[in-house]
Amino acid sequence: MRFNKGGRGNFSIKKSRLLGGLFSILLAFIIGGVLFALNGYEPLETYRLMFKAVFGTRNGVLQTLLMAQPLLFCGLAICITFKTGMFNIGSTGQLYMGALFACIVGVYVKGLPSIIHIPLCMLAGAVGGALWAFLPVWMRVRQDTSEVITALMMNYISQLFVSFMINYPMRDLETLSAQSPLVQESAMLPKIVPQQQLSVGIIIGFVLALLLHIMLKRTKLGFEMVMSGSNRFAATAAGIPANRVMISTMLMSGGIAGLGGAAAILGTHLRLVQGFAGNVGLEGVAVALFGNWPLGVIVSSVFFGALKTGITALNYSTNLSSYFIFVIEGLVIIFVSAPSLLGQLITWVQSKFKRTGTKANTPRKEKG
Amino acid sequence: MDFSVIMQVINSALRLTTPIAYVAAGAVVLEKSGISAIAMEGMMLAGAFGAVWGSWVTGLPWIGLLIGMLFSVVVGLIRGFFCINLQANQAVCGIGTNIMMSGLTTVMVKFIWGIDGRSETVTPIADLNLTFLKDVPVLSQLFGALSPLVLLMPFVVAGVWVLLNKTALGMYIVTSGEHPHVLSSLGISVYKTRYTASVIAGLLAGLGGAFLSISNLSFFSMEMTSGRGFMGMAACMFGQWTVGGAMLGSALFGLADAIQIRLQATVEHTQFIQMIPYVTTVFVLFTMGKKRLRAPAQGGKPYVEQDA
Repeated sequence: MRFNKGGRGNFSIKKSRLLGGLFSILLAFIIGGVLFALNGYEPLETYRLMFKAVFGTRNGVLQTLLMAQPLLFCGLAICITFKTGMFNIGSTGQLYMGALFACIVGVYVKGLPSIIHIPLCMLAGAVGGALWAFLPVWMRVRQDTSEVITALMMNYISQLFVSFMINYPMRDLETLSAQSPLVQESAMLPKIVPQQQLSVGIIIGFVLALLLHIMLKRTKLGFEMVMSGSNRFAATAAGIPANRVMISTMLMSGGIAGLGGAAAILGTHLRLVQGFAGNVGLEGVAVALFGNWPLGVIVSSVFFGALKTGITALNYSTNLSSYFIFVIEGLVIIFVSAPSLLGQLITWVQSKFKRTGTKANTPRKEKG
Repeated sequence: MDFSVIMQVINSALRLTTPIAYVAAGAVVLEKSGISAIAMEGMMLAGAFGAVWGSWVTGLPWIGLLIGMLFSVVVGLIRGFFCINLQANQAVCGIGTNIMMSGLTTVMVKFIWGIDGRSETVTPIADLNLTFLKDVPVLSQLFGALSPLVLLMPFVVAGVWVLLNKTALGMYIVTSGEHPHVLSSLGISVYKTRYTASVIAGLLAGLGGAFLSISNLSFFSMEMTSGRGFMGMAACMFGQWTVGGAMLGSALFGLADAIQIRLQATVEHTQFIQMIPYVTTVFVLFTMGKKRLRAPAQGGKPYVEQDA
């Protein structure tokens, strides 16, 4: 198989991305189907069950939005760093620290009315997340150390730190498992549907996405961020201070992830529990790549939330580990990271049919 | 501080350094060729899983080791394909590989063994008991019972050093990371060189991962690499992209890990102790400062090969 080296064929970048994302989902499902078949489950039937669980029941829809909420926040956090030419892999850690800060304010600050308590907790969450984002970006700006490794290490550190907190200082002594006390009622986010876990946290996420969209497209800072991301040299030549933009972006990103942690605690879990968010920061990478812009991240997070719900539903009836979502997310990331894949694949297929004398396509210009 | 405790810690450190050292050596080769070694974590996990599966299927741990290395290489090649031929963003692609492997191995574990989270116990690679050392006071504690993979490590690492510094292939690899167009102008395929580097890195990652699963322990548990692949990459950076330096870095992390495990028994708040290896990594990277003089010039940058 000879690929047209370096070209993108006839496809524009935008189309490539969208189709590339869809293509990778399709491929992931095919691989999943193969895994099912190998284990004696009928693939199509299994997928039908999954679909039914997610969209056919009220619980499924609620669960989808519930799962989508942390993905939305992390996805947004990572999305803005991508636009600036960076890569915030540390949103897991930032989310956990934000959750911790929000929980502390939520549990131990008493006597405030909701209207003050909730924003205070959210602010604490944002601060916590931003703090955690500082070290990676500072080391990047100061000495060009990859923010990826630093942030990765800090993910592990933050989870251990939170574990320490809920096992010792913040431990709720009235319960058997290691968790913090419940947050004050004044700090709890209102529910959208009574008696269900889904809170207005998801609405906060939507609003945040909208705000980010406006910021990126219409404000000066947003413009600087996007410019820095697409061409650092041109941006510097235009007088945009690259370092300041990097730091602002990362801190903002950490703050968003921290807000996500706060929303998870104040809305969904109501107390700090071990591993409540799993590996959401890594999943957020898939969400951010698939969504590409803040508004797209909304769609992307709901989509992945639906996938997660479905796969968890399958977990009960089949042998499928709920980790299968990571397989899909990983595949999406891999395929979307190579936008030229689809274009080249199509070109190759075309070249098989066309049989022209010259090379099927000459490499096109970058901005398709 | 009891002398025998120190010996125990050093023995422990040797064991814990080994997987990181293998991965670090692989990371050096891969990074030198111009590809980011961030996917080593996923490749290591694939190796760990493959080794257990191979040992389970055949009952022979050494075959398991080979199968583990094979799995690792396959993952490395797939990721290499995306980074080399398709010029994917290497950091993103690498992270995706890691996520996918984490998911895939856990899914396969549940499929094959039905237990959520870990595999059955399989036949491990038995520790070698160096009986001739039994009566030597210090050395017997240090080296008495060691896995053959630990003993193999210095030789393998030395082999990698020889490969990189003394062979033609090594020179091609280094050149492909610094000035790939020079290689192209000589008619040598940059793509093929980078693929070769990926294979070598895969073999080494497989060794490291297999060590974790069938030598150090005798089963696979999900996400058992816990960041060691990343530590290997950090060790490579710490060593300024030289094999010797990477070994030093690995030893540092191995020691931190050994100390961490030892201290867990004595300290109540174990979480801070468990943080030691990760904090060490960040600290190491911090103290490196801007001294990245030896980083491959084309590290992480995709290269488009002109049609020959």
